Amino acid sequence: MEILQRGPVHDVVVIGSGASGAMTAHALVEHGVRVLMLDAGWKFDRSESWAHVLPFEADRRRRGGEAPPRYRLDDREQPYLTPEGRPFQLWRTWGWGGKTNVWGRVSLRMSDLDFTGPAREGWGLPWPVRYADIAPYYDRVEQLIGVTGGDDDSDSLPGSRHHLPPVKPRCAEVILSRAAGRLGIPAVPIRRAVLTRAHGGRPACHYCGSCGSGCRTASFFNATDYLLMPALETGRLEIVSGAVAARVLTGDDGRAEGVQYFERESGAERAVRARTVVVAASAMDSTRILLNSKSRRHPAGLGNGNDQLGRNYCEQVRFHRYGFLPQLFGQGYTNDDGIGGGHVYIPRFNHRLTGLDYVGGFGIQLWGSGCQTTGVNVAELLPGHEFGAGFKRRVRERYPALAALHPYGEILPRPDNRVTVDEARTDRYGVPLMKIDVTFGDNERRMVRHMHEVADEILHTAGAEMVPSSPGEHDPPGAAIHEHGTVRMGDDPARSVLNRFNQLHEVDNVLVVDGSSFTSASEKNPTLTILALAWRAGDYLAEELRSGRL
Amino acid sequence: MGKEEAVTDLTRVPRRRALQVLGAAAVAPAVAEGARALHPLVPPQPDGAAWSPRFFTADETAAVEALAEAIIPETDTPGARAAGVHQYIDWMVSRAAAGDGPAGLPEAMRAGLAWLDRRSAALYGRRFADAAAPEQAGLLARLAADPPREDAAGVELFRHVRRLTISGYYRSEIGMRDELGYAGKQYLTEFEGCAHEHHLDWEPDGAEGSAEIDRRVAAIESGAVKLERWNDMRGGIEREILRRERPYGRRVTTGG
Repeated sequence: MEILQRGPVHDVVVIGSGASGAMTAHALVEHGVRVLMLDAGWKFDRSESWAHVLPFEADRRRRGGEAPPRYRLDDREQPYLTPEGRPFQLWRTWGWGGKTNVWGRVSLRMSDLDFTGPAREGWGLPWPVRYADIAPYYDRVEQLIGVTGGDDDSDSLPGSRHHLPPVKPRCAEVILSRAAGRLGIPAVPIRRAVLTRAHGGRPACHYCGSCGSGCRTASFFNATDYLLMPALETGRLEIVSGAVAARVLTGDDGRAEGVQYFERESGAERAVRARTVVVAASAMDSTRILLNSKSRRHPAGLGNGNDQLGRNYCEQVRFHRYGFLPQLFGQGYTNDDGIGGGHVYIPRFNHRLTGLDYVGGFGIQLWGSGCQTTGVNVAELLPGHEFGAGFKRRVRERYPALAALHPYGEILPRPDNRVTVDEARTDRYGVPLMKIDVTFGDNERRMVRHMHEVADEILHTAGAEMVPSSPGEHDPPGAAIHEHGTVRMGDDPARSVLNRFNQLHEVDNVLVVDGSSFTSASEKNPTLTILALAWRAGDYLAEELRSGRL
Repeated sequence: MGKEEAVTDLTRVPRRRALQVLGAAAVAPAVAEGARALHPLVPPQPDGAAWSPRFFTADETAAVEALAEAIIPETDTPGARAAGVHQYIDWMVSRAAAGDGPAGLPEAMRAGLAWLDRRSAALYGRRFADAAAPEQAGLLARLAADPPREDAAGVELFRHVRRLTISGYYRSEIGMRDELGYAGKQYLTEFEGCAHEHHLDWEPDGAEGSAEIDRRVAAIESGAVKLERWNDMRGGIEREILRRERPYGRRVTTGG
């Protein structure tokens, strides 16, 4: 490619500015390394968030043609393929900070149960790291971003000394916690990257509960405010916006030499030269970029000599289970907005049980309890076809009383749950589209059954009026927005794509630092671990560059 | 909401002052009364004229309005009619008729409304909109019954209108604020959480010092009863044992 013969050679080119790319870049510039970052979108202006626009006012604005910032990429601009009858929900953000602008913020440390489980239980590859390797980075990440949480500490959810004060539970969460506790299922304060007091020069949360619209005060971690802006201030980070990365370009020796991208608006093809490349485009898009980075030396895609790239997809299966708590009937509106989402978490406990007919774990969030929902949801959750003054009264009575349980269960990695690229189907730039083929298996079905039983048991114990559900129902693949495994880490180069420092086994000057690097998914929300691994990878890369090994 | 929008970056405003400014905005009326007259999801008429139906005839509109009001009537708070739910239903059906919505919805609504007035005339001697409230409720009860006691055309109409009335009413300012007391999305300095003693001290029925639980725990511990997968059991016995064996929540005293 002629364009690669010109222009400066950047020490590091990072593809993607979300949690992982921003974290690695932040670590690199702290070490004095200069970084060029490509992002497919532009900087979001958080002052444009509709977080405080009341719902009916937001409806009026939309009716008038206004729109809040578009955090979600329109699939029509960048389609992805799924096999007939096997849907997959992919949620992508193109723009600075990626999904951290609107993420769920649950921040859980993985434990050695997670890192050793796959090998111990015989269903997967061992992680190449242990808790002791990652714990110092969890400490650093939590201190940097601020995580609210309690002082609990258990084998499935390691504790932390760095939590900001816990947030108080809502009425429904108090009752559900006591019901779970009665069942021997411990419930603990949620751990969420929300500032329950001012931290790092940023103001405390103001409890509007609208985090999903983007925070106007940056009172929860987003990669732009917390990582990119400080990194830019060092003068060592440069960001190219509207740059849709397509391929890592390699030389005759098979090593990376740069990155090919397309200007999102003009469609013009560009390339930048690089000494090393960090791929952090989010799990599915990073996988696509590597698969599309074909060359004579890498005919099946970059780092894919062992046919592991794109395979072993894993994530979490979840569903929503609802009831109404008679203890709260008719107590009137309570402002349950809080820090958005549940204030209580039920960590994995099933490893303490015997006789289970599945492997892997699940945790339970209490997302949406109390007056966080709308009358529409309450009315639709009531069974039957009621109407009239009695119906209206029953909706009002139950409005403060919603109890919501959201179990998240681990999906095991399977080779045939995979991402491929379709050479015959290309995007507007002529780059092959990705095809995502994921189904849940028998282990997942058995786990989902147990998850339903536990959720029902907690609701029953709480005395809830149950909302009808069917025992096996769950959200479709992708719904958790926790994609992993397709570029997995491992000590065995024959069975994994990355080494323990997120470096390709086959190409030493390419690192992949996002969630695709996870060896297994665990039941936990991944971003805290993504940040910890990405920081660690950044430290490693800086040392490799400094020492001249790269 | 104008004041709120003027403060674009809270980090640049002293927090106390920001809260004052934004707190004032939060309690101010969100919209003028005129804006409230039109359902928030319905676009104004292009020429700025008063609302008129886009899909329904005048007679159909009257029936839809009466149906919605019978589903969510005025009580101590305004009902569906005051919230403009019929405007919303008309808008949704007109969009469906233009290809943006469920296929078959416009036809089902039109056929159902024709059936409704015929049936009302047969039962009560007048069209549905003119029937007395108890008469309207009587007909709806026959449509809502399980199994329904009326024709499929009427049942389908009722279910469509009920669904749209729920989404139209509880998304309106009347449904959210007047009926349910919604006052969210505010700037607060503290989140108080639950402070009700009767919640904080709440215990599941029979859970406190149950002799039955103690007896069964003893039986299991002695080996007389086999410990099985916990969810096959009832009463929380196994979980009680697990809780006793593995006390949870040890405090963080060391690193990590």
